[in-house]
Amino acid sequence: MTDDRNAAVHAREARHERARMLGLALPALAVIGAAVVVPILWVLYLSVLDVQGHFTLGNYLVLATEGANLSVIVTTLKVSLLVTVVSVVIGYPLTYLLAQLPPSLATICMLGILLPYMTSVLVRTYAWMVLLGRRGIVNTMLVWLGITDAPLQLMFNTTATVIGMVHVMVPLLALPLYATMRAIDHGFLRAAASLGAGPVATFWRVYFPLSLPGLSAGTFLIFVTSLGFFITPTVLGGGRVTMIGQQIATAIATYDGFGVATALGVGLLAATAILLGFAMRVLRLDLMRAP
Amino acid sequence: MRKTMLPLAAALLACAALATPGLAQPTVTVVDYGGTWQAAESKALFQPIAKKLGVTLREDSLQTIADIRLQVQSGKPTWDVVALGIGECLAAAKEGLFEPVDYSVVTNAADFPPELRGPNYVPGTVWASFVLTWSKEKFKNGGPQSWADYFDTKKFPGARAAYNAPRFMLEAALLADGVAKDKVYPIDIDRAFAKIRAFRKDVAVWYTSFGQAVDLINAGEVDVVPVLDGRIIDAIAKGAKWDFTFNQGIINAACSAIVKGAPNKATAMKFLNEMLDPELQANLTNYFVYGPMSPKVYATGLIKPEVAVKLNSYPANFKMQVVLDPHWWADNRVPVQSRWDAMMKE
Repeated sequence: MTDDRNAAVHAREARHERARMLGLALPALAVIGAAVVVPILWVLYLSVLDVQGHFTLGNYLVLATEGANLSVIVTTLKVSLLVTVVSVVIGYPLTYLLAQLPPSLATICMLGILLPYMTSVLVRTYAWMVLLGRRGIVNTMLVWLGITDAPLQLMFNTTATVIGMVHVMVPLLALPLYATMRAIDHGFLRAAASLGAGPVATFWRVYFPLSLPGLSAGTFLIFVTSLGFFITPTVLGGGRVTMIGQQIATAIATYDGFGVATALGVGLLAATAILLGFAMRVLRLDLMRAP
Repeated sequence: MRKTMLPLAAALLACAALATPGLAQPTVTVVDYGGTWQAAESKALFQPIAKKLGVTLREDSLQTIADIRLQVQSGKPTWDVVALGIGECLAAAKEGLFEPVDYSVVTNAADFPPELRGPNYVPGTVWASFVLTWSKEKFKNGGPQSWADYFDTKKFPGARAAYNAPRFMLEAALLADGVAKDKVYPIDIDRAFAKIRAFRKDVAVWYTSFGQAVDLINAGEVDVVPVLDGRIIDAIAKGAKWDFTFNQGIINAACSAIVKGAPNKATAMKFLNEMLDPELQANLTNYFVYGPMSPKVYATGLIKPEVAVKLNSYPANFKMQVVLDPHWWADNRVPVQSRWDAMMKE
């Protein structure tokens, strides 16, 4: 009897709780709806219209058959993946170091990461021209040290593009990862050590798994943000790296109407959704949620 | 942000104008590619015209015809007069983004050759020429003088930049391959692509915009670059140790038109006519070194002789160049771009 009454009270409480949460989430949902869902639907709609405004799948036929569009999508995914991997390899140890520092020192170091993050992408990209250029610092040093006779061609290729993009992206990993690492209870590490685990085993079997929520959040942020890069591949790729944003710009200038350009956007969205869905399944990222 | 604020600001201004009928005078919104070019054009042309016609001038800038398309599709365009490259005008006219031109008002258009105007667009204010430029520091004893020299990295060793687009580049390739200036059109696409494909290994960097080309020049990344004449003249004026030639330049017309559904169509039509006035176009040369398009402009006697000889439309210079055929590009733009993209990914 009392159990039933308790259950009923609990159920009512739970309902109220859900309603409250929904109420609190409404403004955010409205913003997402207006800023994300509606534009995506609008792009989808434009992608199936011809110049006269009639329904057509012709834009997708262009996407599939013309102008190396598919190879651009492959390049986009490849470069984004490469940037993500390199950013993790560089960013994880860096953030780990920051997380071990005393908070006051870590805050100063964090500023060192945040300050460039707030500089415009254009400025940071052109800064790499100063470093990697024919008369840049790197080439001047190499020639001065006698390592090479003539300046090397360090720019205008995929490597330079990836370097430039990694520079922009590392803070996107560092921020969520740092928050997760700071929250890790060091008692776990001491417990592991007291049970006989060495430093390496403690790191890989205790610390690393606990840092995964921040790592996966940062990884996804980097990958998805990289997909839309335009300035860095244009300036540092020198025509040898064409990502989807550049191809969409070309499509807008080449074809009548927005059909082909929007079809390219939808194509990338679909490719990304499939890839991320696959990654979630294989890597079981759903298990990496914060405890 | 600017894009979204402008209509709002325009609406507020319109309200203010309606609220004070005594002060109301017709307005016209004129749109060009922006930057230092439009600032010069505004001083030389737009502001004097607005004063002459007694209208309030508003300005905005555009990047591609997609901006005009958005204006028209919005159903309530705020733009009246747009200035573009002639190829863009042909494309926009085909899409139905322009009002028909009333040639009984735009009488100055009769000065121009008929191939530069259509039912929905008229010639613009200036020519822009795709010219060969080189570093004077790299080539102390004279630089490359023709497209053949540009493609010849043995005769003129040095880092090349190239325009990552088929327009201009195919013409340059054919001229380099020995095609006569009057035989460039219709473009032999296979021949032009073969020339560029063989040249790809010699290109240090492909630029996407002419602004980027100027950045490469100023950064010292390249030694030989084809770029629009106004850009290199401006860079040299600002201290770049570079030179250029009009020889075999590929010269492209500009055009002007009125946006479909423009709010001030009648005023815009008069404005369009004034933009083709030879005396007003001559005034442009006091502000920017692009050659005016009006065939009567050099007969006005208003252009300083030392300036005139530097302009791309000065008869002696004009003769050295090839006029880009916008109609060929209108018919071939899509398949050629597609083929270009495929080549660049080989």
